[in-house]
Amino acid sequence: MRAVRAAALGLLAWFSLACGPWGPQGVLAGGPFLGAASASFPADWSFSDAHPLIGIETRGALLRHSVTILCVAADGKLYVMARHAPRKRWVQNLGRDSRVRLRVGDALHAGRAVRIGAGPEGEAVARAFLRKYVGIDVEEARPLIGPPAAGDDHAELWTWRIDAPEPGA
Amino acid sequence: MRRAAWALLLLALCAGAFFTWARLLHAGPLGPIPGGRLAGEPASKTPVDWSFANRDPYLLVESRAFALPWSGRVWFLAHEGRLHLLLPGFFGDDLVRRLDVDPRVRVEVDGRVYEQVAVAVSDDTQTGALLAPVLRRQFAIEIGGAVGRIPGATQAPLWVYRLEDPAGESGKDGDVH
Repeated sequence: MRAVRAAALGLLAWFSLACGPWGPQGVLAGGPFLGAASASFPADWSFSDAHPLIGIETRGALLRHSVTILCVAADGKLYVMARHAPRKRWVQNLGRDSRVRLRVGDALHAGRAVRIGAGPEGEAVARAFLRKYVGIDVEEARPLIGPPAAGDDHAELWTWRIDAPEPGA
Repeated sequence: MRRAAWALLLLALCAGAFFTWARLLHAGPLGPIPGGRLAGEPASKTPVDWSFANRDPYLLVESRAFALPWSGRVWFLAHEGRLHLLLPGFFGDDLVRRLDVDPRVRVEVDGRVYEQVAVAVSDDTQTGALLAPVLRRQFAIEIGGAVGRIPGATQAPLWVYRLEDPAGESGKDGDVH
């Protein structure tokens, strides 16, 4: 009976806190990634273009939380993005702590998420995104930054560049 | 050790029971987890213009292609008054496989369920016309100037379906939103 109660409580905790100890499972969020991150930070992330989806682990107040997300490489750097960003838990976690771990294929990399805005970097990411996920090259691509105005239905998209982790992080 | 194994087994059983409940008994999808039949009230009229639906980020769609009703929340766009399903390959092809078998779907907007038929949009002109509004709505990217396709650049296709009234009487009753 005690084991049943423990299992039920564990399951409840897993679903309410998404803290399963095995990372995200498809569309389901998970907890911390198992394994240690690679010691070196990739100088060129172009290899990530072979992966439509990657896993990201963020740090909440108490628990680590991981989800499956889109990513693009532009100018050798890695960028991750969130649609309808403000309502997502992993995004809220990044506001508290920018340290992340990324599962790209079988490899695990530690990094630091730095949010980017408009400007040439944002436009380069938008172009890279269109190449990778839509298969098109466009003359002009302008990311819409900030929440949509009233009556405008575009998604609120936030983008982060993944930088090397701070030493000792 | 034995107790831990029992606890793990029970945890797995509970998880199995949860997914079975979500899939078979829950009305509609449970967040990203597919569910059973949509429980909204059947609509008596089909809107002339679906643009009002764009205020929701996802559309609830039910397919009855196989033995059990399947429902999920999917990306969509109401463009020029018509509903379009946007099904990116990186989320899997669950619904696409179902639409191949049976294109009839039920969609739920504002608690009302509408019977529709999904028609694949493969014509370059039609998909081209949808491109800019889709990118703006789904990815907050505005494009301009020349657009060129890069053959083989993307590993995940984006399937697009236009929803049509099964009786071809869209808006006949004048339920304008």
